[in-house]
Amino acid sequence: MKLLEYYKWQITLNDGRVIYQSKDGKKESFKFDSRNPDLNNIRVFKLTPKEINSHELSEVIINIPEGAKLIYFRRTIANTGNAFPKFQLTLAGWHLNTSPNGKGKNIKYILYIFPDGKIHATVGPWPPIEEFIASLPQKDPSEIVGCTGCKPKLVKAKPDEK
Amino acid sequence: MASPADVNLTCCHGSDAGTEVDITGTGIDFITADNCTNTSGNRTTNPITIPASGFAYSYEKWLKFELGTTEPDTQVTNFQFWGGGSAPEAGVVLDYYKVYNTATTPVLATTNAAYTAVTAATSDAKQAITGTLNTQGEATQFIVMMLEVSTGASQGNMGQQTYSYSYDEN
Repeated sequence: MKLLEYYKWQITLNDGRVIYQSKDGKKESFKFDSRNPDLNNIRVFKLTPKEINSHELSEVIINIPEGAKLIYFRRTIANTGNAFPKFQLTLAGWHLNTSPNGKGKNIKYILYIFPDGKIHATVGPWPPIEEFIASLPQKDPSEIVGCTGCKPKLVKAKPDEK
Repeated sequence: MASPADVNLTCCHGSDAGTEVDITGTGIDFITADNCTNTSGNRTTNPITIPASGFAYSYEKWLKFELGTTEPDTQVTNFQFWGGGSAPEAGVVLDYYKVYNTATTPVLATTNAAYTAVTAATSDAKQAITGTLNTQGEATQFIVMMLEVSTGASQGNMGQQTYSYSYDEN
């Protein structure tokens, strides 16, 4: 199971153009930020597993409603002691304001895709990640040689010391 | 696409917190000296003395997230930080944090005023860290951490504390 960068994306724009994620190591021409005018012209967003014949992951296809904006990023989760390996959730969905002036109702639809293929759709807080973390190889506490705030040593004050 | 962005956890010490040390996966000690080291010798040389009354504190530890050599396709943002939900020694040894924008020289903490106990930053109530990083060397605001020890604390090496963090990349 790949824990990082396990999908590649493909975008179909309203005018029919298809844009593919660039190959590993190449600079990405399509930017997922508000300065990219094409970000508002996405009709279909597709995620394909990078691993051929992946046993865990399937293709994910999201049709973006008219007027809606794509939501897409990878959320990396790590810890200071590397007690569990760093992993990413892939978040993909869309956001729509029901009014053209942006003052209408906000509607969001987000899929949280885990590296093991589990998909959790929510508009609220994060889905629980503890179960997935527990399924990852954990370091024995004695193997964690370093962590933020590791093992401060406390000593007792001498009798004349405050 | 670029590889996953190289986001490092950096500890800053010295004048104006100007000396940077990458501590991703290695950690630091809460001790009574201004350094970003994680060794048994460091802890032995600079222990925190359990006070006869009141509180004793560690030096402030200034941490931030910094973009390394591999830059994101677009940006890295939405940094969040949280602890394991329990104090190093309930009631007598507490780890604290505050978020801060401007680098200043770390000092030996003398109070927990303006700090928040790490136990308050949990997986259900994560602490947001401001920063949107695009290019190498850019960093978030600081998480300033310190340890408070009160008179009932146990002597000796304490259990390690592990903190979690997350960030969004696209």
